[in-house]
Amino acid sequence: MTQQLFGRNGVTSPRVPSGTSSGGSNITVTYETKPGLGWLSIKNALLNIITLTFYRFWAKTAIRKHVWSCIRINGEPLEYTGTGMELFLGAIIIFSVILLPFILVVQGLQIAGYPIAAVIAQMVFGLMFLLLIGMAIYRARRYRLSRTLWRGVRGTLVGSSLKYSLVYFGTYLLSMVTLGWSNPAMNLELQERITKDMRFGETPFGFRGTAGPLYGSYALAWFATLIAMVGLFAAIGFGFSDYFVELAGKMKDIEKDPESFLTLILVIYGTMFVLAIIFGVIWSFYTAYEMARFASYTYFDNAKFNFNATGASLIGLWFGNMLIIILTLGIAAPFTVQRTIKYFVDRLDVEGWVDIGKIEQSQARMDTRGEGLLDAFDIDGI
Amino acid sequence: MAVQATFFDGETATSHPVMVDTAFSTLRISGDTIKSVVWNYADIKAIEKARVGDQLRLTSVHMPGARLIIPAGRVSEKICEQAPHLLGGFNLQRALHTTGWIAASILIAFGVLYGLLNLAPKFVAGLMPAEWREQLGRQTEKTVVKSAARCTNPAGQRALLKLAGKVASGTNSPPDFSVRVYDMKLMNAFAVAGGRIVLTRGLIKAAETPGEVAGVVAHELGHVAHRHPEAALVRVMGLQLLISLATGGGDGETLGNLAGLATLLSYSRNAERQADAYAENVLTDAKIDTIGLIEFFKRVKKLQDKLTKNNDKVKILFSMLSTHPGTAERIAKLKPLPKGVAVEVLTPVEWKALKNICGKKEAGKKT
Repeated sequence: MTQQLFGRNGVTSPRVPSGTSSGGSNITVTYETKPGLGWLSIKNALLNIITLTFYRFWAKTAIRKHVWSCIRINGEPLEYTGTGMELFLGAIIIFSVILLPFILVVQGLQIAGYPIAAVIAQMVFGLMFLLLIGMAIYRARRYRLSRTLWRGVRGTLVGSSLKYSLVYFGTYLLSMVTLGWSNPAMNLELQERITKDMRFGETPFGFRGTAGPLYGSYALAWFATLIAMVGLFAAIGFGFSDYFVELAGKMKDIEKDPESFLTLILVIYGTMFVLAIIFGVIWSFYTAYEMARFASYTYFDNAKFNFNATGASLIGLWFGNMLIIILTLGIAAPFTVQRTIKYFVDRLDVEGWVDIGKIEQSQARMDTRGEGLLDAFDIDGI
Repeated sequence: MAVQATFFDGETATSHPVMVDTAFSTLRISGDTIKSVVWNYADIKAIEKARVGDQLRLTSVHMPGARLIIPAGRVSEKICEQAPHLLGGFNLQRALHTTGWIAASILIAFGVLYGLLNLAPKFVAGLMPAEWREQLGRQTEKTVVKSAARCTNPAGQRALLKLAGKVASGTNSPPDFSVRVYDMKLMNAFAVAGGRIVLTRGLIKAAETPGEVAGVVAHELGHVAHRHPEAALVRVMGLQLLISLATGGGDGETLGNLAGLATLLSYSRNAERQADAYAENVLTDAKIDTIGLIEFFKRVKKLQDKLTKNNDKVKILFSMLSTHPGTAERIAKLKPLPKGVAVEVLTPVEWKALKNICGKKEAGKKT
């Protein structure tokens, strides 16, 4: 999550100065809302229904075009030049080379009477999916950067998505082995890699800093999680033990008693929901701290970044987005994109100066398709 | 008319102050820091749909990286007048383009649907190796009969075998098939993959002559011969593919669910007609009177009418089965054999044994 959230920030921060073409300029990034998002929400929702969600690629593109154009750097808006067709083709290709073989192989094995082989195949594919998540994130970021223009100049990522993907996978494995204690260092590693690969035009972003300062905050969140978990299990064990014994008794003839089955499901989902909220709140504070740190480690030309993220405001952002989605049955989703981007832009501050005249157009080859993997994994909502 | 504007050349992020002159039905862009360029009205495009009274953000098809920003005013209004396509009004070329895309998408969608749900299932079903069909059939049968016991009264089994053999004798190349009876109350008969024909106790009980059971078996044999059950399964998988394509997700549904779904989705009318035609041929050649099948259809119809009157659950069940051609239509199509040709399918003793295939329960009721 941290990676993507910060990524959006990255997208919104190709920074350049106003007016003068020689010497440095200060950079200001602002978000200026404009009308049209409500109509866009309704149009997208209707077309999504009519096309059995196949319109979603074009819908996403329309939202980005709107939101990007509200982001102004030194008064000049960003421009999103991606197309729905690119996203659609990306998704189709990923579907045919990854999801389709997965479905065919696993089901073919089941039909042919090798259920164990089917389970093994499922695990192999699962591992492959894990290996591909990093690649999905990296490529999606590259696509978005290459489709983001400021003053006619676009961004890009110049590194290898495979390498990033392996580090991402390593992060995941290490996190399990070290019970999460490797996360701050590895998150920094990932952030450093992707930031140093990032270009606006031909001018690179830089990243300089260590993971050390993150650990105090991380330890707080880690132990808070531990305490919350112990507390929760104690509550379940002591406070509700009678209830669980009773429920377990009813489990035997669950088929005859759909009501207790329903209660059980409610209890399980209820617990999961409460857990998600508790952990979400605890980790919001760390995430905010990490994002702010990473921003302060980032520089571009002679400018550095300050990102005033706080746990409370982040919780407010997520909670608000959740409410919007629930209350409008997802129709107003474009507003959550706007809120998220606006949050980052409003709290971002650029210190120092950039020699805008020196920024030359990117010479990087453009991907012709976008984000297929990301769509398949349904990783983020922007 | 001329106006001060801002120009980005697409090469660097430098902002160039320029003058834009609209005097010669073109946009003449000149400034101290750039080489002068001329954009024709036909070649310019609006980055965002232009609105009268707003600043204009333009590019040219010949310089796709360049951006020209013209402040709101007389010049921007004049440009919109000269190049109305910037305002995004009706444009025949674009409308044709869009219509073409929509038409092509619809055609492709129908093509994919037809291929995935009709052609591919038939094709794949025809190619499926015997072991796969057998395996599929076993699983589907298990899903459908659930915990119901198989009826295995030996005398009844022998009678059933004889009846099946009689039916099969009506064709030169009978497909591999087997017939089983399960102890289920619901009156039903179905064929699953691998040539497995399943009858229920309810059906055997409702039948009044061996000819009726033979008719039902012949009909199901028609499904088996045309591999309808296999095709139905492939169809459900195609449907699942479509769904995962639509949702972008790909979690593998378990085969059990699929099998259940495949049997729930009844065959198309066409498949039923094929099975009926097959049954009629087989019965005629085996010299079994189709009167049995006709009678049976009549009884099913009566039962349907009676049941659907006041039982919602049954109503739903029958509406699901309603892809069967109308019972009246089916009866009209079947021609009885000429008098005296028909042979006896089972002896009275064998018939009694078949009726009792589910064991003592039935026998007990009779006494």
